[in-house]
Amino acid sequence: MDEAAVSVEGLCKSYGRGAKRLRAVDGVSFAVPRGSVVGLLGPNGAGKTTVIKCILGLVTPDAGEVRILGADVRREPLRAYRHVASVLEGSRNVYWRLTVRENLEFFASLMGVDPRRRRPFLDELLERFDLASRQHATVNDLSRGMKQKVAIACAFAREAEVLFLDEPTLGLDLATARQLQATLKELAREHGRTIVLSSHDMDVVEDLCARVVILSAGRVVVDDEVRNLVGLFRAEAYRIEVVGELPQAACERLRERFRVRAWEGSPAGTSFEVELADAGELYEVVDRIREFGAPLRAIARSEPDLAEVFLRVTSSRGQLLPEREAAEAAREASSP
Amino acid sequence: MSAARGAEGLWILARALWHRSAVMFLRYAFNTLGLLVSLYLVFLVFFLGANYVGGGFAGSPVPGLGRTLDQLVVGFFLWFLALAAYQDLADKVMQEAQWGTLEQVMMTPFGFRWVSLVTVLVDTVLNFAIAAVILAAMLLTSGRTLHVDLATVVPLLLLVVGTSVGLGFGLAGLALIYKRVQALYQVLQFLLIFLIAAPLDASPLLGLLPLTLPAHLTIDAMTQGTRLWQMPVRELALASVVSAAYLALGLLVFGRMERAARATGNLAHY
Repeated sequence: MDEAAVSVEGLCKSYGRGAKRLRAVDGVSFAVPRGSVVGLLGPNGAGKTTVIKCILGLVTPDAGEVRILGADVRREPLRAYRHVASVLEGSRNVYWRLTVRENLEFFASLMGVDPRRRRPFLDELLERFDLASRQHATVNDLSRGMKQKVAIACAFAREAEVLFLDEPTLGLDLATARQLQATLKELAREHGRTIVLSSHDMDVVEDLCARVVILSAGRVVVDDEVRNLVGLFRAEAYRIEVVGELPQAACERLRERFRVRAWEGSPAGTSFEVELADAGELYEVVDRIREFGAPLRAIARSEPDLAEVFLRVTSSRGQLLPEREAAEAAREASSP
Repeated sequence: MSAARGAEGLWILARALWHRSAVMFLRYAFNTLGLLVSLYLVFLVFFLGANYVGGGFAGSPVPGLGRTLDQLVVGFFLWFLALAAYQDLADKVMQEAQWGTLEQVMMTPFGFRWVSLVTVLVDTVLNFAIAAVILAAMLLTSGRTLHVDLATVVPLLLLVVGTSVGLGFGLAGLALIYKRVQALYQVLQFLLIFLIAAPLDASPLLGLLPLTLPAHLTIDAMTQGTRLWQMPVRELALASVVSAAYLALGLLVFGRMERAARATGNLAHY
């Protein structure tokens, strides 16, 4: 079966009336293949949550069509709900007065999954999310990180093929977030689930998602594989550090010729990033620094990551597209 | 995926909803106990007040006063059952929105309406248990006895609860849109007293009001010992139709409000 797990076509949604009418989603279309992990990104107010809720049938769109494994969410929501589970509000998605296990059993039952027959799978989830030792504790007594894990484990307990995870690591400390990230990665791979992940944590997205859909002002501005995106924005950029403070004149001298950014200066040292047309220009940069008598401390090549791509895509949407098109054209021209 | 559908799936769902409600009921034990005590105290105020002002019910030389006390006990019992049935449903919708679980329970292949209906059934069983305890306490306090022929009382109580559940669905629908509907509870509490005590003899049209006819039939059955088959078929039929109509109306309102909440995107707001 090559049917998409999720397909969204021409989705539009506005809130309010008259002068206060706000277009939250404006003609969004994308598809998520079965078994893939896709990131849905965007700055605050880009329309991510509305898109996710429209896909889940929790918000009725003004126009457009959403299908989950072929089921039209608007016309046959109950059929669509056979295949989908979600974590929408982190730790708030479970019953805090029930124990961890009771929650897992309850949410499994909501899908018609008999928890008594699926005990080994629920045990596995408890182990994977490091919740086994607290399975009989009420959720209320757990830390925020553990509550979040319970919510995600409950989504998995539903045994749905498609999972929507909205900010699964929000508010967690780094160690817990990374642990959760590793668990999600294992489960997605082993159980072949389709996951749509929305997060502001770019490390999580870059690690888990092969592809991202980036929204800005209710529209899809990017729908591409992560490696392509990072490649598109890859440039001959170097991070240079010198000993001592470089005078302002040095900065201006460098700016005359190159794109200089992220300038950080202090009496102890100065660092900046410089973008070059080719690696050969690096000698010229070094010569200009030498003019001011500052000894070099380090030169390192800068590799763009998803966070940088995201910032550049969403911070200057109007300018991005020509830039992106140019980068794409350059990539095509350089390919054999 | 090993999910069951149809009757087996519904049975799994019902079991889970029962377990959830029963566990919550016990884990909020203080609240449950508080409810029992406060209801008993309200009855005690009525009972002692009437005893003091009217010179007593049971031992009164005035003929029929003993019967009035029986009616008060049954009326109070019905009032609690009706109140619990509509408030539980509306409260659940508001609480679930607050807890962030409302959208989760809506995303079930069985449909939210089934989840709500089964929840109502489960809660009704629990409410019957509470009501039975209060009833026993009232009877012990008043020294009266009632006729409890289950074959008669249970169907009639279901008609009372069915009407009230219809009201509950309507309120739950309003809660989906307006989020806070507790202010209506105060008005409805008094309205329920009127509906249960409305003088049917004054006009047969009063039988069309919610609760009135099934409440009267239940009071009759429990105080006079009238059996189901001894009741006028016309009244039983009318009570059933009226109860079903209010339940259907409540479900209709709920469906409309649910659609409106999805359209405005404020289903999970609270």
